[in-house]
Amino acid sequence: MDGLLRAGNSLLIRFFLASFAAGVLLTLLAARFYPVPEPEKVYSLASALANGGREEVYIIRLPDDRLGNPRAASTAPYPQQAFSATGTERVLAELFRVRNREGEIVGLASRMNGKAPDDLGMQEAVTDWMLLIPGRGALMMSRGTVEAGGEREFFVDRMGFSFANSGPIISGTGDFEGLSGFYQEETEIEKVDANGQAFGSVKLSTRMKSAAP
Amino acid sequence: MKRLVIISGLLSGMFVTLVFLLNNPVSSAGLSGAAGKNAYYWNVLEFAGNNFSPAGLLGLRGDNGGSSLGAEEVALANASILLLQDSSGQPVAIATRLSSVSKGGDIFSGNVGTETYTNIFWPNRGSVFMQGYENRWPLIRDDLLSVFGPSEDAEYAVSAAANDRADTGIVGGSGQLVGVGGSYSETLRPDPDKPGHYAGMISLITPTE
Repeated sequence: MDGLLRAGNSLLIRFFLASFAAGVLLTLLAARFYPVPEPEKVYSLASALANGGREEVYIIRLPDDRLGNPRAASTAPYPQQAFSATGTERVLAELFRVRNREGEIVGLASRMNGKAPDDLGMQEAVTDWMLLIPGRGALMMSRGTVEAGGEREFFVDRMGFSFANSGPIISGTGDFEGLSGFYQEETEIEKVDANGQAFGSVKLSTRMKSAAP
Repeated sequence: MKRLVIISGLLSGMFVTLVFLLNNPVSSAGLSGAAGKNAYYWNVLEFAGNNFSPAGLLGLRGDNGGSSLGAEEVALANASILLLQDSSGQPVAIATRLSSVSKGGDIFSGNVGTETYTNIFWPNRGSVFMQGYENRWPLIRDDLLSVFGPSEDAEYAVSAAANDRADTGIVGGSGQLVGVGGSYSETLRPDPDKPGHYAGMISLITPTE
């Protein structure tokens, strides 16, 4: 009787240990293969350029694609010593949804505009853009007192863009990693309503090529 | 009796492994979140999109806790405007931030994160661009463990090396900060004034300072 009891207990212990190990294994497998959400890959609508680079165009429809305050975006709360609603201390920050050439929403963008000193200490307008295409990567771009190809401002070849409204791509990640190039911003305002709401579009064109020589 | 033993063994194994995973010793090592010389405290002025709630990052809830951006392509992303203050509480800069859930999230290695792109603008000085990766696993862990009681005064060092080992840090700038490089680290804490959102501290390390 005693022997039978002992054999039964031993069997139960083995069952416990085996099921314990199975529990460990199942949990580890579940953790390893758990489908953590990730952004879907958005495919690019790029055009090939004659010089071997590529062009991608993004569109922002105003006011539909403006995020947050539809009138003038958000600035720091006033009055604050560090900021002003006007003058050289004014910094404007805006957030947008971004569409591809076909009008499909593919990403997000932010625009910052303010003043910063150039080489000679003169305050110049600076416009920074960030463009995020989930699943593809991001672009960081700027124009104003920024470097373009190792030289400030007077960079001759902007891949065909006008000097007036273009600037260099500062950095890119994901699909845009290792690319250099320029962007151009073109804003078309069709009308401004009685509330100051602008209707129109912003076209961001990017031209990039491999940074490797 | 046999069934009871098997079920209790299975549950015990699962529980022990879950505890181990929640305190994963091989979890992605974070970058130091210590406040350096150039440390700024930020809070959100404007926010749109997915707020990366711990449950949302795991896909456990349909509701992401944020606002819809109107398209599936940007459902796992958000955009925000931040106000940066110095240690005395004085506003010194404004920033925009775009974030997206990162590919390659993995519970097994305690690494579920977001890609973060930040543009800080100091009036009359210039701006910097930063790209980084935040491992949100510590926030997920605390959220899961909150069934045993809320964690008070939680602060999380989230900056970490990216899943694909892509470069992170300060990648450029304008004005007085043209060509600047360096690194940065960040800590997050729940914003008491904006439930469901975080405030934080960002520490910039540039070679010149």
